[in-house]
Amino acid sequence: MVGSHREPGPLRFDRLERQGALPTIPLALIEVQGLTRYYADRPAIQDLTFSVPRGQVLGFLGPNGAGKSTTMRILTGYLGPSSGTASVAGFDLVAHSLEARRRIGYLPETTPLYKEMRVASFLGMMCRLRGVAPAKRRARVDESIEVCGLADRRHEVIGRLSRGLRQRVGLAQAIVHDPEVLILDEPTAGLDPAQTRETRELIKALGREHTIVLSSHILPEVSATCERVLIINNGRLVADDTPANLARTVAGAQGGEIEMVVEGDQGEIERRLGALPGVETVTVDAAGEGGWRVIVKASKADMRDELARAVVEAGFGLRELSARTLSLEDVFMHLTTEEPA
Amino acid sequence: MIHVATIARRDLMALFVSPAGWVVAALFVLLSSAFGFVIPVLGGQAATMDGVFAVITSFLLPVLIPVITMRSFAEERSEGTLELLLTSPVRDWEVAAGKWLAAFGFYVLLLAATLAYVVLLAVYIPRHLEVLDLGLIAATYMGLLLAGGAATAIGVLASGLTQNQIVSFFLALTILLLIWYAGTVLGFFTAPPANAVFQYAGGSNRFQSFSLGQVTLKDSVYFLSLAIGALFLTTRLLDARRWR
Repeated sequence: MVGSHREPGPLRFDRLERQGALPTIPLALIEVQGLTRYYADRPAIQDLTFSVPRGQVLGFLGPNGAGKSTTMRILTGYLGPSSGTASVAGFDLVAHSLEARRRIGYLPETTPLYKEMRVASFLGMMCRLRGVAPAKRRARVDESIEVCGLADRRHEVIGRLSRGLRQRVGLAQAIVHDPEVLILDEPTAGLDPAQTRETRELIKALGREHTIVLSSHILPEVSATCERVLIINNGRLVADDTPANLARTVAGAQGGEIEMVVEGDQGEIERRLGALPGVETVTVDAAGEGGWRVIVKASKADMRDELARAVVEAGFGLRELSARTLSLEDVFMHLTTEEPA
Repeated sequence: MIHVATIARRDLMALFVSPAGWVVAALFVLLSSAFGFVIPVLGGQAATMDGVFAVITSFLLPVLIPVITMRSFAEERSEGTLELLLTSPVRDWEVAAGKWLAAFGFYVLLLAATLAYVVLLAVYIPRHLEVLDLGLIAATYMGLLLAGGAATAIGVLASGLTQNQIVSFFLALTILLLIWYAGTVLGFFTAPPANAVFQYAGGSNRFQSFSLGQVTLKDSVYFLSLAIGALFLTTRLLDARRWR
């Protein structure tokens, strides 16, 4: 599924580039090539290759244990790869680790913080560790506090803050040195719905000025915040596309379901629709308002036009017709569930 | 250098707000006063610094230093904050040095507290300039600084090996006791030529020159190499963790 077939769309610069029509300018801020990481002999990730252009918000999606955190830890220099390379802004995470790390803001999965410190002094410490010039430190601390909505908490001890507020402190420390790239590992894990929404808003706002890679095993989160999704399963990349394209691709491969309300004779409806090429099953389940509720399963993608024509030509009354759209959830299940061969 | 100082300051502050830091300080002041000074004096013995120094070498160095250093890396690991440090643009040796500097700084503060007894002796002993051997006292403090530097480095190394503070404490305690008493205990029970090696490499034997009033290059180098060696291993350990 890697590089899954896209429909022929408008001209894309990366395609022109590949064809040699444009000079190659490194557009990608994050570049990952054949990344593999073993823990003892167990592979956590295998041969991951992807790149993230400047300004993109990328969602890293996969079930628990798929290798999301491992990838992020390599991207932040916390772990080294077993083979392959990863670079940020052209700096390799192994060979030029410090230069690469200077450009990264990282929120680890567990939101680790020095609990005995106060918010502002913790952020000040992080400024010093990340090489913010002395003259700019105050302004950077103030700004990250402002952006993360911690203005009235700046002198509170971190250990006494609620889970949601700690998450904001975690985000504040990730942006305090104004990095180009933000790497957020499960930024909303363990938050209540209100806090989750707040955090998502914050990430969206940050995405306007930063390149973001965030991981999640929660699907709505990714479709709500990301322009592009990488799906990873058992350490391998299984999909790389926009949330909408992914849904369409899988619908195309899987066929789709169409729900109609048709007025007419039950048996006749079944026979006429069932005879259409591409239709697999027709289920007339109940008399609804104004006709029968009919569910058509098709092997082809989107058969709405053919079905509508068939109904009208047969002289039935068509009251309702809608394609059941696949959610990212269906895509995810489709891609990460092993199908019997 | 700013990285080392930043990490050291955070750790030192953490020691001051933690009960462990205050318990260590209180225990040390209590024991060095009671066993080192008050009891000998009440018992009619001459007031000297010997008792205070004995408490430092037999209790502060091997037992309390592991308490000071046990959190150092173990807590950062179990809390996950090590991830913040090691993904910041900070070199591994700077992290190790910062951790060591905090522990050593706390030790120096405890050591400084015992200077009060030197002052007391100087004030209350008549003709103290003749009786009180200030040179010997200075040499011993010099030795204690060197031995403490080595012991804190070893404690930090032990803390880097585990994420459990209790394990870290016992590991440091064991290593420190082994090194300190290698000469007197292992050297006593082993046959030549092993005993000569132990006697030569034992911490307490190497400390002897300082407590006799000499600051020798050989023994200073011994403690310095222990400190630098332990910090070097800690740095290697931080890097090795990336590849495991």
